[in-house]
Amino acid sequence: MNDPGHYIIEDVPPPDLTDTVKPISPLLRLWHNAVFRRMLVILVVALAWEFGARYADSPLLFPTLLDTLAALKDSLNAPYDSLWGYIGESLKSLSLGFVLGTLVASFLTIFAVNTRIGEDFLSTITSAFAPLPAVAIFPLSLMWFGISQESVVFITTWATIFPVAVAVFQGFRGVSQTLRFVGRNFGLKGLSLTARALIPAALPSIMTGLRSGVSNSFRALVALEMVIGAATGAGGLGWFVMSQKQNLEIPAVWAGILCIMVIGLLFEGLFILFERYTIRRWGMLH
Amino acid sequence: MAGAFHAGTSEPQGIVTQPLLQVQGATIVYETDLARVVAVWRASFDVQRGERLMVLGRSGCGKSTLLKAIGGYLKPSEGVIALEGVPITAPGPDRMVVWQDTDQLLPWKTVRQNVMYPMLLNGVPRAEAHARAQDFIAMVDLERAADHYPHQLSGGMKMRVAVARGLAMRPAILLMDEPFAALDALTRGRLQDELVRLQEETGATVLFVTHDIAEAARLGTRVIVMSPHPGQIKANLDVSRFASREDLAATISGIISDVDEVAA
Ligand SMILES: Nc1ncnc2c1ncn2[C@@H]1O[C@H](COP(=O)(O)OP(=O)(O)OP(=O)(O)O)[C@@H](O)[C@H]1O
Ligand SMILES: [Mg+2]
Repeated sequence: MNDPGHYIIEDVPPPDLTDTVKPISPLLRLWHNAVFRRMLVILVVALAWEFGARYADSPLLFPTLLDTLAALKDSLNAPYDSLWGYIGESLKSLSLGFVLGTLVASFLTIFAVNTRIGEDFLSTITSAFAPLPAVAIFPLSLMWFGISQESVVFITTWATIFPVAVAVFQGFRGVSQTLRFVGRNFGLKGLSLTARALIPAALPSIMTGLRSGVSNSFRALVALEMVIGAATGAGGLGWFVMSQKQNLEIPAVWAGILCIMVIGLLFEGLFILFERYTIRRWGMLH
Repeated sequence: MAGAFHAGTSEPQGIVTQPLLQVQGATIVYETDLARVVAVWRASFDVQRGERLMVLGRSGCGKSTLLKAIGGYLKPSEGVIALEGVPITAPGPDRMVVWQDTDQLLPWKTVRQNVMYPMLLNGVPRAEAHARAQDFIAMVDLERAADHYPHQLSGGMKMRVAVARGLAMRPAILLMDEPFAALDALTRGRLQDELVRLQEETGATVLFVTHDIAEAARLGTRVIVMSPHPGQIKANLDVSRFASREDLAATISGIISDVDEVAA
C-alpha cells in the first residue's frame, strides 16, 4: 500500500478485559462500604468514651462505656419495668405521630402545589411556626387532650408536619418543566401525574423532609416525655432517663441516652438503605 | 387551503385526503404580568402523513411555541390546530414529543422501562410493549445500554432513547424540538442519518424544529421558514421541487436574508 506520509494510523489492539480489570482488594472494597466506614466512626467514638471515662475516673458523673453497656443490659433484662417497655412506648408515639404528620403534610403540599392560596398558606404558616419548638405547643395540647397519649401524639404529629411539608413542597417545585411536560405527554394528569412523575422526581427532597420530620419529632418527644412522665409516672425513653436520674442510677441514665442515640442511628440506617435502592441507584443523589 | 376541515374521508385513492395535521391562522400569545407577547402570528400550514416537516427560524421566532401548541401545552388565542380534523385541546401520546433537554427521560427507569412506560400507560399489553421497545432500542443501536439508567448514558444516547420512546409509541406525529442542537457535529450527523432511516422504515410523520439551515435542508421533505417579531411563517418549501439539497439550502438562505433585510 502507498504511504500517505501525512498521517499515521494507530493500531492499538483492544484491551484484554480479563487482564486490565483486576478485582479490587478486599480491604479497599471494605473501605468503599459506607456502613463499614460508619461502624468505624462509631468504634472510634466508643473507644474515646471508654478511655476518656477511665481517665476521668469519676464513675458517678461519667461512667465508662462498659459500665453503661452493663447498665443497658440490666435495664433491658429487668424482669419488672424493663427498658424495652419504655422503648416501645416512645416508638409508638413516634411512629403514630410520623404517619399522621406525613399525611397532614401531604394534604398541605397537594393544596400548596395546586392552588396559589395553598402556597401562601403553607409558606406563611411555616414562617410563623418556625421559631416555635414543638414542645412549646405542649401547654395547648395539654388543655385539649389532658395528660394522655393523645397529647404526646399531637406533639409528634405537629413536629413532623412542617419539616416534611416544606421539603416536599420545595421538591415538587423543583421538578423541571420538561419532566412535567413529559408526564403530560404520556397522558398523565392531576393525581396520576403527581404519583407517577412528581413524587419520584422529587424523591431526594422528600427523603430530606422525612428525615428532618423524624428527628424533629423524636427530639420533641424525648423532651416532652421528661415533662409529662413526672406528672404521670409513666412514659417513654425521656421519662426513663429522667426517672433514673432521680434514683441516682447514673449508668442507667447514660444507658437511656445511648439507647436514644442508637435509635436515631437505626433510623438513619433505614433511610440510607432506602436511598441506596432508589435515588442513589438512579443517579439522583451524588 | 382556505377550506374548513373535511369530514373523515373514505374517498378512493388518488383523491386528496385530509392532511394529518392542520394549522389554520393560529396565533399564540403569552400573557405575562408585564406584557402580552405575540409569539406566533397567524400561522397556517398542513402536514401530510409520512412527511418530515422542518420548522426553521432564528432564536425567538416562536418555533418552540408552535410545537408546544401542537403538543397541546398551549392554546391558540385565534385560529385552530387540528389533528385528523379534531381540534387539539390537551397533550397526549398521539403526539409524542422529543424535547431539546437531555433531562427528558425518567431517571428512575432504565432505558427499556423508559421506552415501555408510555405504552404501558396507554393500554399496550406488556408483552407487546416489551417487543416494541426491544425493536426500537435496537434501531437506535442501544441494546447494550438497555438496562442502564439515564444517568449512565451520554447526551447523544439519551437523545436516542427519547427518539426510540417517541417512535415506539407509534404516534400520529412525532414532534421534535431541536433534538440534536446540544450534540457535537459528528454525533449530530450520525443521528440525522439515523432519523431519516428510522422515519422511512416506519413511515412516521415528523415535525422537526431547528435553527440550522443545513439540518433543515438535509432532513426535510418540506421546510417552513419563520421570522421573528412576531413569529410568522415566511415560506413553505416543497423539497421535491428542488434539484438538489444544495439548491434548497441556497434558496432558504436567500429567504432568510430577505427576512432579515425587511426587519432591519
Ligand atoms: N413562557 C413564556 N412567557 C413569555 N414569553 C415567552 C415564553 N416563552 C417564550 N416566550 C417568548 O416567545 C417568543 C418565542 O419563543 P420560542 O421559545 O417559541 O422561540 P424559539 O423559536 O423556540 O427560539 P429558540 O430557537 O431560541 O428555542 C420569544 O420572544 C420569547 O421571548
Ligand atoms: Mg425553542
